[in-house]
Amino acid sequence: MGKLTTLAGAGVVLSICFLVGCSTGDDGVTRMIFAAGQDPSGATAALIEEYNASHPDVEVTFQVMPANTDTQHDAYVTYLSAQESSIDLYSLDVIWTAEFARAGWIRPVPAGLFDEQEFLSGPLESVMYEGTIYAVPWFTDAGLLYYRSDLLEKAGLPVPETWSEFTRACTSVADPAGIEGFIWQGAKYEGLVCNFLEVLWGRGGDISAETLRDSPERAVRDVESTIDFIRELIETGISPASVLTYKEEESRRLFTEGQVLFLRNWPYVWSIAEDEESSVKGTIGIAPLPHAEGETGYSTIGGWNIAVSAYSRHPEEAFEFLAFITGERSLSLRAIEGGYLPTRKSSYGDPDVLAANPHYSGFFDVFQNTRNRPRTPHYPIASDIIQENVHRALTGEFDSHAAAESIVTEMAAILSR
Amino acid sequence: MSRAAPTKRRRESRLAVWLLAPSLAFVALLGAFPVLSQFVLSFTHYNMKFADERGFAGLENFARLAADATFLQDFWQTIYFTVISVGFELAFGLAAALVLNRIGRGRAAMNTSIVLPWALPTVVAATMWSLILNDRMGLLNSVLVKLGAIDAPVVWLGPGLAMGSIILADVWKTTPFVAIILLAGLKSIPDQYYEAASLDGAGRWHQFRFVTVPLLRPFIAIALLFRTMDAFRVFDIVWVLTGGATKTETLSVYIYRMLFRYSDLGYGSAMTVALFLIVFLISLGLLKLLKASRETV
Repeated sequence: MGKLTTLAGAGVVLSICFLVGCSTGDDGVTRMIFAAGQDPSGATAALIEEYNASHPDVEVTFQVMPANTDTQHDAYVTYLSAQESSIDLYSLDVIWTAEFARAGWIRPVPAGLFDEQEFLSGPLESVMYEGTIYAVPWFTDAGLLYYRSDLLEKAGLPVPETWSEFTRACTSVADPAGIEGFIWQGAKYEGLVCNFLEVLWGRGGDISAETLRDSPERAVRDVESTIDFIRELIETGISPASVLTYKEEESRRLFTEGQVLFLRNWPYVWSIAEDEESSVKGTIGIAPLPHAEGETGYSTIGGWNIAVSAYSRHPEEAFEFLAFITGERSLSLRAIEGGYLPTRKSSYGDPDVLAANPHYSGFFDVFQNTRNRPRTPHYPIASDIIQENVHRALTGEFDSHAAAESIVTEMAAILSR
Repeated sequence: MSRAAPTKRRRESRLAVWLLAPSLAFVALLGAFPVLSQFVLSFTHYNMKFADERGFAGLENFARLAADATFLQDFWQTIYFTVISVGFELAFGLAAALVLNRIGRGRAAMNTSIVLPWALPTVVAATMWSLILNDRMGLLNSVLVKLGAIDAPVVWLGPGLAMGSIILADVWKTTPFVAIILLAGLKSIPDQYYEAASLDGAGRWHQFRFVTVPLLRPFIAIALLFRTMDAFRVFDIVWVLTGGATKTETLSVYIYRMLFRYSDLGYGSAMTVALFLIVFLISLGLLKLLKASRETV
């Protein structure tokens, strides 16, 4: 079956290749393909057109991939394990870098292609694997706290920064109003990993390879107390039990229908919440996620990077295009036209970007404290270890101590592999 | 004449082989090749992402499988899902077939409406059920609350209830399939049998018990065979509704994780081979049952 899918994948790519034409033809034009998810705003297509117009000897084609992240991942794995050479550039989810780099599918980025100082630290960290840079950050994403500013103001409460302020606001504001206190993404899927890590980090814990190696007992204690803390949020009614079945959209819908005081979600919620159809338009705000007393709140980083395929026949031209498409003007244009959050710090000071997205200044504060999920070539397994154990512990199937122990021992094994 | 006949027959059978050859090659390519390559892969260590570590594994994948607690748990969950959902589907399917068989007017409309769930792609049906079962925005809770059957919304996809909800969605989706097969069976029973039985003084119940059930048995066995094989490989409904959370993961979902999420073709293939053998054994048992039911008629 593996061979068949590989063959089928190769067949699809070959036919694409045949249709659009790859490689340098007789006319001396270098033809390249850039594979990425759809950009409904058309900004990416416009930028590529502009690039082609100013580079008569190069022709880049935008290959639109399926919107579903996992489907995209599986397609890339199939192409690359078949050593497909017609696609020159791939857009990769931040959690894929280690996997693709370890497999030898993407090329290290030549030194000097971009200035590291100009990028946000979280996205920059996500393009590194074992000290080498394998991609350039393209656009970013991070967990945010959305709150109902009208309800907090009426109660005379500031936006909570610590968990104790947070839970107090929930009991004194949400309960009397008859709405839910705090909604997040608790279904057993990737989103649970992001939500769980944010609470763990905000309580001073972490499950980095170093911590797991040097002080596993501490890691077990932190993970266990984090699970207990989240379970308490549900048991005390701050979050409903059904939160353990919610993904992004279920949780977003409750918030924009005005049934929730606090929501943890990604930046995309902002424009929906401020839409005419939203019942919370004009009454919301964004803030960094809450943290424990004396600690700092961190957001899990999401978003996409762009890498050059190891099998590309035109790496030089590909890197040149990569520098253009991740350049300051390109990122700003995509922010203005499509609302894609730039990975370059300077874009957040660009008056045109801020005019189109006034709320970006709030996002920028959150982006100062972001962290990456574990960076390992075995990421899907690592993610499932966290998903399984945390979800089972939260639904009462596992004891939180046993769940914490298996997370720590299994993660340690994966991260040292 | 008597000499010419065998030659002609031989020529015809040779022609038949040639005519069948393309479709046999097609079956070999689409059926035998993937199954065989799966068997070969199951004896190797092969992860698409770590192609450099590829190598012969012997029985290691199968040893790992024997000690895999998740595989065992998912196996029992799959059995549970299969037994309960197929049981309900047979009961409801039989009831529906009996009703449909007696309907005179509007039969076409009834038949169409009952087949509808079966005609929907499973993913579409599953997505629809995830909306129906949603605790806040879902139809089921809002109806039950309005009727006063429950005070607060129930988390149908939460712990304890998730497997039941999945079974509910599957029963809704595939009962029509059983109903149609059994309806065909009912149509095949000649009216004379019932007339003879009623002349002998048999009431409705005795007619059902001693005429309908025995003559329907082969059809029940066919429905049972198809549904059990399908139910045992269930994937889409589970994937859409819970993603395998709260004790709902089935073997197919686990295999999907291994083959696609982890790109572990070696171990994933070993699990597929195991699933193949399990389904094969179950079908063998059911076929025996089918044969036995034919012989008793």
